[in-house]
Amino acid sequence: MITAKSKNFSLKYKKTIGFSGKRGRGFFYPRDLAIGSNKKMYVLNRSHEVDSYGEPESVRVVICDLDDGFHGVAGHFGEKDGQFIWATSVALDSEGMIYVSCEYKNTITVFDPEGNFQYKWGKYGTGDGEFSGPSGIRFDQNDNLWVVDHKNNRIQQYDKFGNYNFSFGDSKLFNLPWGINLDNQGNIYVADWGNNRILKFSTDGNLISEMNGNGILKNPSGVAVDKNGTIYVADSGNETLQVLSPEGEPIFSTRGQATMSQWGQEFLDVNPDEAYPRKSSDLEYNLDIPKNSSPHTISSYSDKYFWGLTAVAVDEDSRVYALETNRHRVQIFDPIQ
Amino acid sequence: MVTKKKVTESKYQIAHLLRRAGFGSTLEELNHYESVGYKKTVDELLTPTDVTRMPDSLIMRYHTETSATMGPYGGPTEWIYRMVSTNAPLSEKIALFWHTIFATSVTKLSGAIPMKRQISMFRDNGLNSFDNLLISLSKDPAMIYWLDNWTNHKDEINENYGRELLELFSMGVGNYTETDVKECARAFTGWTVVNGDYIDAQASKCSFQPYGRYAWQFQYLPEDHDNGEKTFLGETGNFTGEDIVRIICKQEATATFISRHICNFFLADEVPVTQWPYVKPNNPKLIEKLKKVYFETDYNIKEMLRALFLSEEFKDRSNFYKKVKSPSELVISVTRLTDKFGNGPRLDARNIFLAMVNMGQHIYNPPTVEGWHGGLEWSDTGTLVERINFCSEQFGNTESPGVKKIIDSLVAKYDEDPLDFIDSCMETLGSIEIGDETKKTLISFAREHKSEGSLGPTNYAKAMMQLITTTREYQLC
Repeated sequence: MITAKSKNFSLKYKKTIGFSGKRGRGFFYPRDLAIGSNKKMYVLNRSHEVDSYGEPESVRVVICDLDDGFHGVAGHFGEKDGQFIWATSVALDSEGMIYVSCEYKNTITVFDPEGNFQYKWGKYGTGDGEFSGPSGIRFDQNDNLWVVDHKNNRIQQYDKFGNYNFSFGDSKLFNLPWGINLDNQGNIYVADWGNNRILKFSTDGNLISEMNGNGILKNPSGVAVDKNGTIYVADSGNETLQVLSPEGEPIFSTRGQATMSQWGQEFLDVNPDEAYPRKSSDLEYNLDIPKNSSPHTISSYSDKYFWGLTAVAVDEDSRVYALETNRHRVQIFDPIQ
Repeated sequence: MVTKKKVTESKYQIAHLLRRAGFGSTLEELNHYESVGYKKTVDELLTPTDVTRMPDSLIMRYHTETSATMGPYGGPTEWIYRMVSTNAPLSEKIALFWHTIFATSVTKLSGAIPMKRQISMFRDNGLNSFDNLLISLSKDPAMIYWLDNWTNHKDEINENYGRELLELFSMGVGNYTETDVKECARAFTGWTVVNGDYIDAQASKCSFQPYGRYAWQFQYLPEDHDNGEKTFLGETGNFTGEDIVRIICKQEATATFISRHICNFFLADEVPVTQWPYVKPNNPKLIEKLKKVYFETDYNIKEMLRALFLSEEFKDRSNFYKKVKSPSELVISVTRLTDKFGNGPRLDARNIFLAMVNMGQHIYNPPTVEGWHGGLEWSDTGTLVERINFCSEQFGNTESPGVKKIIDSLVAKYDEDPLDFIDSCMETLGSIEIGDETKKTLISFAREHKSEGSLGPTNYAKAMMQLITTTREYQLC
């Protein structure tokens, strides 16, 4: 079964964007995405596997849009300014500036909307304003940047220039938290990866509620909230997009329904030697695979299932974007309520 | 050379066992196994309980490439984390053993998902009955593509897999005829992979578009299987692949071949496998013992290993340090001892893999279908420098939790006289032993620096560890 539905909520698959590409247009082991204005998407690509040119150009933010347009890249692999080693998350402020966290360099790097490096901040440490592995980052409506400082098991708040405001959380509360997001009221949602749950906090860091989807969540890595308070979880351990009610009850789930993206189809159109055998192939999970295989293993056989589901985002129209690291693409869904 | 401290013979034997059946040991591990005794240690290694290792989810969180494995690092890096972090080292050692014999290379597969699954199959089935293992191997998608059985059709035989199954995987040259090869190949027609044409199209171009790679699956196509009568190794019938494996496994030559491989890998280096028809084995009596166990236990590999590890020949000192550590054995043992990944995954994990490659062992990519020859071929002037530099660098890195722990324990013994201090170092490094000449050199170094006080306690301990782990003896296991 691909989807599970409640009476009052469902998602309708819309399309898939992206294909595997090490430079320029395309994604390569994408890890996070941010949705901007004018249907623009900013997809952060993580892999640092050395390519045939001796340098992993695949590490970059790819700027594209919902209509399959490609608008350029920002950033690069490396130690210098404007570069990252283990990039983890991407966020946009109210002016469309692009922020990228790097959990190896312990930095936040800032680019202008065209992808030009502006400035960076951050260093390793456990004190105020220091990081041990910044992972998820998101802005609130006041242009404060919320940073998941994951190995310090805390959440930090900065202004957009990197001035430290405050932090909350510790290892008693979090276990290697990952993704973060906010709702319209400014409440904060954190994917508490190692504890298999989503935690909701008030703006001043007080815990409001704990949600584990009645025990179904396993290593959630990303979280998003729409304007109605509906919560979307990239449930990476189950390779499932879980949808929770504002109260945390599971109301919908899907393993994915990917179809061929425009970029992918254009590749196949000019490579008939791959297109023809692909067309006659069975790329679905309906063959003889051991019954006790993990969702991750099952997904490795399937073309339409999520594989490496890591991040989720929601735009102003409540459209849902689910990002898959291992399939190098984003599946997009429309809500039906 | 008089050794003042006394490490029990039992402890030395267990340390020897852990070097061969695992990747060496820390002092704590050794003390644990000494407390349970040699026989129970063998049992624990062969049938581990409460297995722990670094979780896949944690590795994948940092090393995205270890899951989809499209590039050169993902698969080997994932295996290195397993080998370093597991408390069931024989499971990984047996996977290395079969990877060496059933040598398959990622270069032709172009994408490591099927290689990763093959290694996993070795881990899961490698201690079971040899006939089960050969059936699993014959159905393994990586092997089917690697040796072209997916192009072995009833109307157009491809003998590649059938030939290697007999020559390199079970019986050895001289124990079968060319007709047997052809009949064997006929029996494996129809044993193929799902989506073979698409797999080949992607692999032949190293293509990873549009959506990366997919896991491969075995498929039996009865319409492509040669149902005709076959005569194989003197038996005639309408044989399938399973029948062929059954006939292979009951051959005396198969028992000899596998027993010699076990001795070569776990006991003492032999000449390369291609010379076996012409050179007698090092331990013919032990091979006869293992053959007996092979037949008595329905070809059970675990019971053959149990018989080996419990044999007097294995425990005899004449077989200690009779093997040159393979690059993987050296690198993994050092990485375990230094606890390099004690604080979680590290960006430089790939450097561990590259160190092995530079020493001559590219796991996932053996040089030929014969695997690695091993023995003295591991060590030449270039690779020896790599080995020494690696050990020195790793034991010089005090950021590694294991190094810090070892140094702290040795600093507390700074006041010991040099001979005792060196013995303490060797015990801490897993109760290793070194020759008298090497020990004289170490004592000379220790006395010189101790008398001059030129090194503080920390640097004294660190320098001694670096010296010991770069000795000739440390290259052996």
